[in-house]
Amino acid sequence: MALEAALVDKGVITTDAIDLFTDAMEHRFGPHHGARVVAKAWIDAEFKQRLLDDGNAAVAELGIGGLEGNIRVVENTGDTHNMVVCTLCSCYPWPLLGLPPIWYKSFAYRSRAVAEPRAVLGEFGVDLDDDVRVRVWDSSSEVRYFVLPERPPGTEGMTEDELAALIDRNAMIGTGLVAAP
Amino acid sequence: MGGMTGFGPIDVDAVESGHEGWEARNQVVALLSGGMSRAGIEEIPPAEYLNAAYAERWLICAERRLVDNGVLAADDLATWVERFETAPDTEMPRRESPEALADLERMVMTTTPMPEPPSPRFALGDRVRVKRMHPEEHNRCPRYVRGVIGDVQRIPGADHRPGAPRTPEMFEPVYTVKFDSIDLWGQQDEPAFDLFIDLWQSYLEAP
Repeated sequence: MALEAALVDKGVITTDAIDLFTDAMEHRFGPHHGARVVAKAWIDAEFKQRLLDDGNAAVAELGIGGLEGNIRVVENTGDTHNMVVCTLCSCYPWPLLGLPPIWYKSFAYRSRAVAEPRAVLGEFGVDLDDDVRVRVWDSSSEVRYFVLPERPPGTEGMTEDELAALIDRNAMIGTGLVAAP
Repeated sequence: MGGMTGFGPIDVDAVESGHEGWEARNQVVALLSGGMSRAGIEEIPPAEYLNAAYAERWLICAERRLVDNGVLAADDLATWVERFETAPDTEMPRRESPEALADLERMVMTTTPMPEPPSPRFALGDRVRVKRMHPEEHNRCPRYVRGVIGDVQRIPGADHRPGAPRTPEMFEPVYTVKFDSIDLWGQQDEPAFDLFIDLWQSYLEAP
């Protein structure tokens, strides 16, 4: 509060700019966008291919984009599990997921995800078979990694909106799986 | 932080303390005023860094940079803190600049891709070693990959080397390099895994 007061008082920044930017971070960005992207990729194979080839262009088709939004999408399959961390700070795909959860910024997650990912996943309740290859992505440049989770069984015939409702934030960071309905 | 030990289990259900906007709003204030930079966060001395919560680190960084750059006077923040504490009804100052909002909106809502890399020295599939180095200035090469050999998996683009002057010579290809966990950490209790990280060309050498 004091920082905003001092800077607005001095005319360095303005209240309406702070309002606009904060509203984008909290409401116009968020995991509801990520879930739409995943649901569409599950239903539309051509969109999924475009998403994996050029994530920025594919999500722009859905009107999604913005700061910290230069994405690369990595796909979870039966034999590969991806998870994302930023060991240096807290890089995160804002337009698709909003601001990162507190654990993503914690020293425990940042230090351990690159050294013992399965132990970390266990703390999130994710237990993978030994023959699944884990791939950890440490976001150190201006690329923001986004996990396309695996579609669970028992979702055949569901609509895009129904599918999107199954997908939570952790599944798109790779610290969760999408559970069958 | 990568590979440090002793931080304990992950609090997977932790909820932001300054909820309902304050944390995001403070981050926005730090970003808009030019007070926030990764380099500035990393310049916080390690003991202080480890003792501060995430949002506090942004505030520490913003306050120091803005005072160093002469944007704020050293006692400006303290004055406002005292004002809000002694008179909780103190109104937040307001100021508007509607003519600047369209540009800001475009900036916030536009994705900036990485530029194409200028003549990369390494090709896809090349073996590369992360240089042994010990820079004091801001950099984006975590200690845990230094000295380790990996494979170039992708070349996502180019960027200025962090911490270096923004001159054309410092504009470098960035590589996504794949490492085997055994090369990073040795044989462990859990099955081996792959670690991918993006590294600037000057961090790498032929093995």
